[in-house]
Amino acid sequence: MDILFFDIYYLFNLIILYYVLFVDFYYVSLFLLSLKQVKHYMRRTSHKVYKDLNRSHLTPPVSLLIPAYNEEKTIVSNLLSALLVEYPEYEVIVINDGSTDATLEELIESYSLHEVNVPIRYQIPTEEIRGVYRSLQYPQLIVLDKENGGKADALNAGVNASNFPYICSVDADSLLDRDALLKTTQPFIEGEDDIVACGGIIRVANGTTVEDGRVVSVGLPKNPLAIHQVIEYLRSFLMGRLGFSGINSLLIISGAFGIFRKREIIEIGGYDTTTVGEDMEIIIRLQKYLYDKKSKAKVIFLPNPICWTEAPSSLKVLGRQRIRWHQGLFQALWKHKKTMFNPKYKHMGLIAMPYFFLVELIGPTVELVGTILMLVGLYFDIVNVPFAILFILATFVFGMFLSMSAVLLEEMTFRKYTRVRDFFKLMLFSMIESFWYRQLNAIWRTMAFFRIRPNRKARKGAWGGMERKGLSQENT
Amino acid sequence: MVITVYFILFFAIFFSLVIIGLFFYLLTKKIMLRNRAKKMQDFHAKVYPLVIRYITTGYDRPVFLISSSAKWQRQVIKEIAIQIAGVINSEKEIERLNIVIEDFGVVKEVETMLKDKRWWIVSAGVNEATELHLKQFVPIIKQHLYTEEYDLRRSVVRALCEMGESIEVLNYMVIHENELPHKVIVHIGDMLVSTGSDDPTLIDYIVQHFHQVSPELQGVFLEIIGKRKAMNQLPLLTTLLRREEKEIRLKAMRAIGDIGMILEPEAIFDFLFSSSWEERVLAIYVIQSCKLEQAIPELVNHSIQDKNWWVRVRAAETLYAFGEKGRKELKDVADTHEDIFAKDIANKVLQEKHLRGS
Repeated sequence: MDILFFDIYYLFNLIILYYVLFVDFYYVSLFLLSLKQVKHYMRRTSHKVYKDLNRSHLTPPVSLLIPAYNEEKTIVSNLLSALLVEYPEYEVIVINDGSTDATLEELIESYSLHEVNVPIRYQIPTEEIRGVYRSLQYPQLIVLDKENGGKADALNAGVNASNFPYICSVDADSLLDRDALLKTTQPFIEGEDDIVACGGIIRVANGTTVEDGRVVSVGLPKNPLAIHQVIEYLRSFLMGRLGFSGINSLLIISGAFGIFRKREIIEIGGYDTTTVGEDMEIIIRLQKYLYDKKSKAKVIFLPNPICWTEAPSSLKVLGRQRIRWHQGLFQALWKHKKTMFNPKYKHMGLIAMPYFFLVELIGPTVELVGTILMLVGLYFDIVNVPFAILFILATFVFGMFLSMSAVLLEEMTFRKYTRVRDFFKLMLFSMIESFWYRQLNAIWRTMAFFRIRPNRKARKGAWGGMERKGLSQENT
Repeated sequence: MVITVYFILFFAIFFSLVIIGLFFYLLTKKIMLRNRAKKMQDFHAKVYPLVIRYITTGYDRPVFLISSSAKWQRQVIKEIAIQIAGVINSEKEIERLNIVIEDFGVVKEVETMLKDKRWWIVSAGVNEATELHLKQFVPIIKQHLYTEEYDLRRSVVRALCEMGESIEVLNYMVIHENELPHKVIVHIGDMLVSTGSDDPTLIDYIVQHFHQVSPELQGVFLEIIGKRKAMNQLPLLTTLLRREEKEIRLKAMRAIGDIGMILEPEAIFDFLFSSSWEERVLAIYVIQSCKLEQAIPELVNHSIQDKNWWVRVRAAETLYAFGEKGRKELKDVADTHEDIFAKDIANKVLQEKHLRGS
């Protein structure tokens, strides 16, 4: 019996060992891909003159869609950043998804809104729209007030109400850089390829100085949890998404900031209101649709158009957010499981989908199980101690390498954190991340599995509960 | 197992070394960049007023500042020069600007960039030559028009248009139109429209070559005629309204609308009943921009209840744009029209315009 237990234990450890090596190989490949992409991007953009786009007749008009639910604290100030972007022709559509607080009243009061009679084309079915408002101060601002139906439903209502051929989803708690829209539409206009969707980078706004809806200086937040998220966002965007974009297998454009060609969004039926990870699901569906149509159109990611977002600074809110994200990831992968390892979907089916399944979805749980097994083995003295220490050390070292690589990519390109003090902080937090933050994330993500019902629809009208402090609050 | 242990040991040591190397590399780079930025900032503060004074007044040529030909100093001068070049107009000021950038070796640097083998450096050089009005580099820039690299070709076209060499670009398009992808033709056309200088010979060239080129290129030409408001080409545009190719008819209508004058209004009214919604929308555009109030009955009785949403919106907006008379008609549509979609659209436009106070 003991021998059997020992054999099983040994086998299990071996599987985990090879799994870790496999994951590390994936990460190194992604890093190299991202490095190549970053160099390519910097070359192409170093000589770009964005002001040309502002006067080009080819620059398409864009509808910015901002879904909002109980955003009374931040909506007024954050909306200003969307209303002041540099772009020749655009409209801003705020969709109040049946907020139970004073979001609508705040908007009416602050932006002099008046109810108007506007016929809406219901190209995608949504909950009922109760009213449409326009602003006296900002001609480009439209506010929809609708029955609660969730973020995806709100976005679909925005698509229906939009007047322009391109839509851009922006979170209500996010701030756009002035030139973010121009930079993101640039590949649609100038690029050689046919682009259907393009995402920009999301950066953590905690620690920045915000004036009139604009980030005027960048610094690191004081809250350690927020600093960890700064590194995490850099790694996720500059390494993950940029790498996948390079092999045309991008499976996620953050809901906080992404531009889409409306035609395709309507053709695929809009955002899925039954999942919590609607931003990932729609991209997988869009990519699948393009492969099925044998279209050469692409979904891309650009590392420079910046959208700033408020990161959770308490464990409770962060945990809730991560559990929700992981549930969304599971639902999206489950819904499109037929694309997994399917050669018909080329890189997407053979590389990106397996990555999200093997690394992103089950990775944290495997890591957690591996750690527990290691401790059990040490307790029962059935593990080779030097080997265990070496393995843990190697895992930590590699984790640090990944985080520092993300900082490297940042330093090679945009260098938003200019102070040497911030650089030291980033490096320090890259190192200590492996000692607690990673494990915490693994616990939250594993907890997400216990709350998942793959075929059950998302609770109607569900929004991720994020307690806003307001960007200016965090900085003081 | 032994191999695995050694492998993991190697793995850990290798990545530890990489981390240490990365840390020192990034730190050194960070400190160097910060120092350089500080030096550049100080130099900028010192040089900026002197350069401005010299360029605007001609006094005290700032040659004494040229202590060395450090790249960062040239960078600062280049930035200042580009900033100034965007706002000065007089020949004298441009001449003095050229003296300053010549003194600091900026001109030489741009020339080196234009001759570089890496396309992105050439492209940056082309852009800088354009911003600094360095017309002496036009021959070198022209050579890059035939490059394979799409982005560089865009920069070159932009540069030539900005430097008053639009004819060269047009000529390039006429000769190479069969080899150029559709997107490139569209982009070159866009640049000719939006960045081209007011060269009077441009329209003559277009008219001269109009019938020799493909309908695609004719479309680009028509856009240029429209945006430059070449009124003397209205007879040509009017004849093109009868062309077989729909794209040409659409472009001709847009050009007439852009000019804001028309020779045969009836030809446009016919398009209100076209089977193509794009033609119906553009006909309304022409009616509005040429102020053809005699079309009000057609707009009220036909276009505002069109099955296409865009046609209805544009018809309502056009009625509103026709002053008291049009607004009254639009109000009647909103109150009494039998078509519910027409009523909706009339209400929408009335409310929006009322809100704007326009």
